[in-house]
Amino acid sequence: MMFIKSTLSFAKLEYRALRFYPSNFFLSVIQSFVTAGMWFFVSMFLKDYAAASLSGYGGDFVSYMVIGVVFFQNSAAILTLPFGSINTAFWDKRLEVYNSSSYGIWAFISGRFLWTFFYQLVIQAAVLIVAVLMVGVKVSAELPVLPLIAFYLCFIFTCFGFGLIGASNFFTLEVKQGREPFTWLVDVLARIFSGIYYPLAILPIGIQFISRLIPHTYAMEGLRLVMLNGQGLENATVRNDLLVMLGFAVFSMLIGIWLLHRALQRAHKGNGVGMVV
Amino acid sequence: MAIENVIEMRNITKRYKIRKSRERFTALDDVSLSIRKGEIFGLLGSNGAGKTTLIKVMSGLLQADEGTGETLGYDIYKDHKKIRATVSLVAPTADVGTDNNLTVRQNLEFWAVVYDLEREKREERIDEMLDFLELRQYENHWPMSISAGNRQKLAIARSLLVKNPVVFLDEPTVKLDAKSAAAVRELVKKINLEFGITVIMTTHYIYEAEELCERVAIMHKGKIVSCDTVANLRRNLQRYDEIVITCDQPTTEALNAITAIPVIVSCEYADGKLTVGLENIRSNLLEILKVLRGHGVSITEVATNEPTLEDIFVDTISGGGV
Repeated sequence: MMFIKSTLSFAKLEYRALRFYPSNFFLSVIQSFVTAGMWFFVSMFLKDYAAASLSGYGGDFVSYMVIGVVFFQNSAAILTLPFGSINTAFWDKRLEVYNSSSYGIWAFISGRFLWTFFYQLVIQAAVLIVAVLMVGVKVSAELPVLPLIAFYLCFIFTCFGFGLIGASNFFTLEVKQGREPFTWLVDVLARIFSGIYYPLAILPIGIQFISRLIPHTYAMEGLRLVMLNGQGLENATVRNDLLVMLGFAVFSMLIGIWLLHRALQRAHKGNGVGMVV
Repeated sequence: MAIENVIEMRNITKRYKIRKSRERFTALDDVSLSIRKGEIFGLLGSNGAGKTTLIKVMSGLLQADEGTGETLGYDIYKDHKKIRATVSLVAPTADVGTDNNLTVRQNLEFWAVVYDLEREKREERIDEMLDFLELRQYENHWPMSISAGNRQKLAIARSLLVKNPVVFLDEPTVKLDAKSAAAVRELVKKINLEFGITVIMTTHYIYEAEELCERVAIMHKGKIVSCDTVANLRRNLQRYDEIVITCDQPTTEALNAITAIPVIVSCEYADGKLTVGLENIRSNLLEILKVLRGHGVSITEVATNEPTLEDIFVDTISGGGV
């Protein structure tokens, strides 16, 4: 109970910071629209050429692209969140103070996660709604809501779990500035091999196996089948993808929590959470 | 562990890793220490002496490499989370842990939740702290808009919200101007007296330790080279008090009578001044003056010279302790 209260308190802290600088919200919204808009125009330019490769998703490259970009932006924010949070608190000299309370650091990360989850949900939902209502992005009229929510949550928790693994490197690899290598690698592999911007079929067969190692591949495939084709759990691919995503979510969360816990213990035994080695 | 001791450290050693090196820097070297319930205890030493590291070990923020110890009865290795939950720590600079997007009051409200203060008690305790620390007039101010001294008070208020029995203050007056530093020192006395909280503070200001602390540990290069009351440190170092009396030439009988007083360690007359070395100036000054007057010595001026903690500190770190 105390952990939940602390988590909510840290989430509220983020909300207050946003109220203090409301322009940040509008800039985030604009940035998300700009990114989605840029890829929208690229896909408009290539849609006729790409249509043949997208028969499995109804052949609409613009919708395929916008949905991919929206969910990827959301996942990227969650992926980099744990390391970014620890990094910021460390250099602001707040990390050790948070550590002086019972659940400090965990409540801090969870609170920031909770806040970012809803913040990104609102922004990306706004992008998607505008895309559907104003620029003709097509979403199935019979949208299976439960599989959509299940895919979304599994994807978010997978990225959060990977983010926690990355955050552990703050203490284990002593990466205290710049980009953390694990989440950087996940981000790069996802951008190239998971089919965010183009169908996997265009990749050379020899390297397509890499795609199957990345959770983003299953998330993108499943979310597009649900949103573009309206396919639910009766579809074998959707079922399999969801099962894989569930496995990724559980596995990455467990590994992430364990590794960050170990990293904090290592810091406790070593130089502490507030000192540069 | 003795009942009245809130902290007991035995042979604590802590070594820090050095980046890209197999060597380790020894921050604490075989440190043993007991801190009594309700006292203000000072850790005195120059920069890099190991004061902050020792505070972190005692408060459960850092694990020692060797030695054993308990804080409030909790083992420093097994129960460090419990220790962190039952002690308060104020970092060296006031801004640490303070959120500048929250007002003074909102900062306290935030930490009241994180410290798991019961909902019914939160507002009452925050009001109590605002009044106690004289921050009421700033409760709706942003931390950046109040003085460094008041920000330090805010940091102390945060640490006192839950009224933990032990408070660690790491250089509480560093970077403060003289007025703010004096206000913080008064506050330390006040929280010790009114709440009965044991205060363990680090400082490299000798006058601060002398003013506040019942006992002082002098640290140097990771070791405690001396630990006692200020009075005992003086005695052990044989840094005696001194009285310089401007007077007529005393007779031999008068000098013998003074030397016969048990606490007198030296007595010498030169250039119209009688210099007397003794153990405790306060309780023996009158007796010396009485002896001189009894032998008809005319006194024109009396000056006293007590060794300060600074004298002791210099003696201790240059001589390797007592």
